Amino acid sequence: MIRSMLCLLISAACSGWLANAPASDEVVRLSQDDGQWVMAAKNYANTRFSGLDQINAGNVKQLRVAWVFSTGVLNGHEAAPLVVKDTMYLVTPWPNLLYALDLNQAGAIKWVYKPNPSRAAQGVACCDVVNRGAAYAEGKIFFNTLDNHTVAVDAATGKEAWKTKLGEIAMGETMTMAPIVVKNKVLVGNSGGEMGVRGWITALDTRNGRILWQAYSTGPDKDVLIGPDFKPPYVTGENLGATTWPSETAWQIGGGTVWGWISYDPEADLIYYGTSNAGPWNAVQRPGDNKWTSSVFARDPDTGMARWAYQWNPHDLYDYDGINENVLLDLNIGGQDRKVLVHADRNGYMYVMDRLTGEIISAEPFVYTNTVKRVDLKTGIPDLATGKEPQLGKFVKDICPAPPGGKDWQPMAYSPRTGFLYVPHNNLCFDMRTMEVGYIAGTPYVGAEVAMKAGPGGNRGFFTAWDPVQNKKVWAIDEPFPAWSGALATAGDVVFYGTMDRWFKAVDAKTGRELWKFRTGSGVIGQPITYRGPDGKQYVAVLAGVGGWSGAVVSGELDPKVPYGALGFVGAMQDLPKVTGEGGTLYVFALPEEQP
Amino acid sequence: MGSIKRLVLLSSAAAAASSALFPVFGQEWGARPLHRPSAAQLLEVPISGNPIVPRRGLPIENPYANDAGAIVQGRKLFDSLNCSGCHAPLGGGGMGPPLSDRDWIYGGEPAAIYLSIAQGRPNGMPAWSRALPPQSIWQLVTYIRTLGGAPAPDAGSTEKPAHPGSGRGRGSQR
Repeated sequence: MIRSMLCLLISAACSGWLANAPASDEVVRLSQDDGQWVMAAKNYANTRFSGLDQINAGNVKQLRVAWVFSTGVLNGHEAAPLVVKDTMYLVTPWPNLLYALDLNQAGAIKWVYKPNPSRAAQGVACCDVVNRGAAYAEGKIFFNTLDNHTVAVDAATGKEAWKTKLGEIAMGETMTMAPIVVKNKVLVGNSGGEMGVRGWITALDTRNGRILWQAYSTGPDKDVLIGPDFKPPYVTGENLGATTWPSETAWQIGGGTVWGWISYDPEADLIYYGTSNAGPWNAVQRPGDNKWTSSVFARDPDTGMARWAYQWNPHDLYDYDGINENVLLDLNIGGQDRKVLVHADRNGYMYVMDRLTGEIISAEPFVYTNTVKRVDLKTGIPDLATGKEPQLGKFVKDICPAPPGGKDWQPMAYSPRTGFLYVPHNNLCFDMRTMEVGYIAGTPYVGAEVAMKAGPGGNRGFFTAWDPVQNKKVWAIDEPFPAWSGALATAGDVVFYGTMDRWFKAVDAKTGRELWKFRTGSGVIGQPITYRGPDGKQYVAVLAGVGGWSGAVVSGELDPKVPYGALGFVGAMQDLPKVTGEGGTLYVFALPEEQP
Repeated sequence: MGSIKRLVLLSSAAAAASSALFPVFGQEWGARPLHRPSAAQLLEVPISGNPIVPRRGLPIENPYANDAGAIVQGRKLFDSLNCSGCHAPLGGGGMGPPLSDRDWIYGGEPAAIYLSIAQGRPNGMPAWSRALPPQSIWQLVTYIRTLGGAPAPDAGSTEKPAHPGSGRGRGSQR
């Protein structure tokens, strides 16, 4: 029952952009080849769907470990491995080692590249020292280091091709996101929404690392790269990135960092990405909408100029970053073929939007929320519930969702075979007390005391199948901890994800029935991938190694008795150290040689 | 402490280190003794747990040890200087290590904590020596010592697996 089709934007049939776009051309071709996995999200549409079907719902229970690899790093492993031809590439958390592993020899080390990032960078990373992966194009591997360098490494030799510095740890900046490559440009963004960092996205020349354009998320239109082509669907006005703030100082330290996912529609020739929470968390210090924090941008990848933008959470009250992935799909909705962007926001709503105009087609809650009552489809404005507004100096109790949202960075997958999205996400609420905070460069700029807890039902996570056409839930699996790994969907109608309590699971794409699970060494917060090995077999690979914001109580060895630790996440994770320790390990699975 | 909270420093951390930007401390404590340890005293503070010639007694005593007023002032500084942003309210830890447990990377004695604040530490702890007068650092030390993280006793302990399998001492990475 295929009610919707995977967008064909990864098809070479898309015309009009091939001639001057050799890198995209190559990336499109490689991302269509299910033997490989050349960017963290598998393809520009961010579907994380593979056409491989050797491993299927019938035989997945026989899945075995083919080989394993220790990264030698203990912090949270959120990255997706890459596979290019017969080599796998892994980027670790700080110190951001890049391993090349030989798939012809069960993962023998070909080389390891060490970028030697600053040790002090660890101290300004808000939520563990993670890295979310690399990207391949033009014979090079591109990735970011925690101390704000984008690096290009020769995929064959491991030699550094170039290294460009983009930010300052002394200003609280770090970089953790996985780049994508579009038309000879590496697209990257910064982290640090808890440190008074001003967010940006930057395009670098794949050949030499030169900066081609940089677009800030806040400030006057010239900084945000807003010009005559900018047509946001719900607002008008110039310099909104400055005028919706109390002062010039405020937007210069106001967040809107770009630490999540970038998707690309080659046909429309637009990139899509979200921006982080506004800073500080104490919203009293920044009256106004605080554009363009907690927003989504569509931009021209050649010039960086914005085409449209939409703010998920104007005047963000709860650290609701807008950076979650935007999955690009072509769906038939209400009898009409629509080019849509689907986004599960931290505020707990699943948005289906027209990706050419930014207009919301529908927005429905996918998790319990008492902060946003509904999203007004005419104005685009989220209708906030009363009674849960933060108060200076006083704890407001049981606000849902918590700052990591109904869903955080952990990326969902989409199967064109079932028409469902597969969404790993959270079920968390929290208590919050705000207070005035002073800006001191290189230190946190938060102004809130937070203690998180489980949401209704007591399970802190879900793995949910979601129908984006009806925009409603199909089935959901309760998880005791936040489901903090990525999801992987395959043509074998098997969906994979990992859990913080040390399981890597395969479930039936249609029903959600658990088909197989494997006990990993440490909790799983990485992004699973699949590929065809040089021997023609299908493999599934995932990094284990708990940590990240949710797992900081383990990876940072925090005090589980104090709920305010890790910006309040410890409150909801006090029992995590009882079920997992640290340790980065890659697991690669395959079916046994002889099938009974 | 109100004025420090309103300080907005767009300059780099280096510029923030100028004590001229923190005039409040000079005004409030200018009439009192500075309690600045001498260079010779600071050099005597062991970071290593293995002194070749052990010394008897502490090289530097906290002038505010058990001073209730210093605890109150230290707590205000802990919040206003954003210490609580990294180490969390009550010192549970986050971007920085916890201060409420018994595990001290660079020593939990008052003089060792003084030095960690003054000098900073390699994994991200800023150096505050040029931003704060010694009294303020001692007040912070006095408050931090109340968070429950006294140095570990010699005896081992068995917890129902709190950090199973993690045999490393903290400090290898954070």
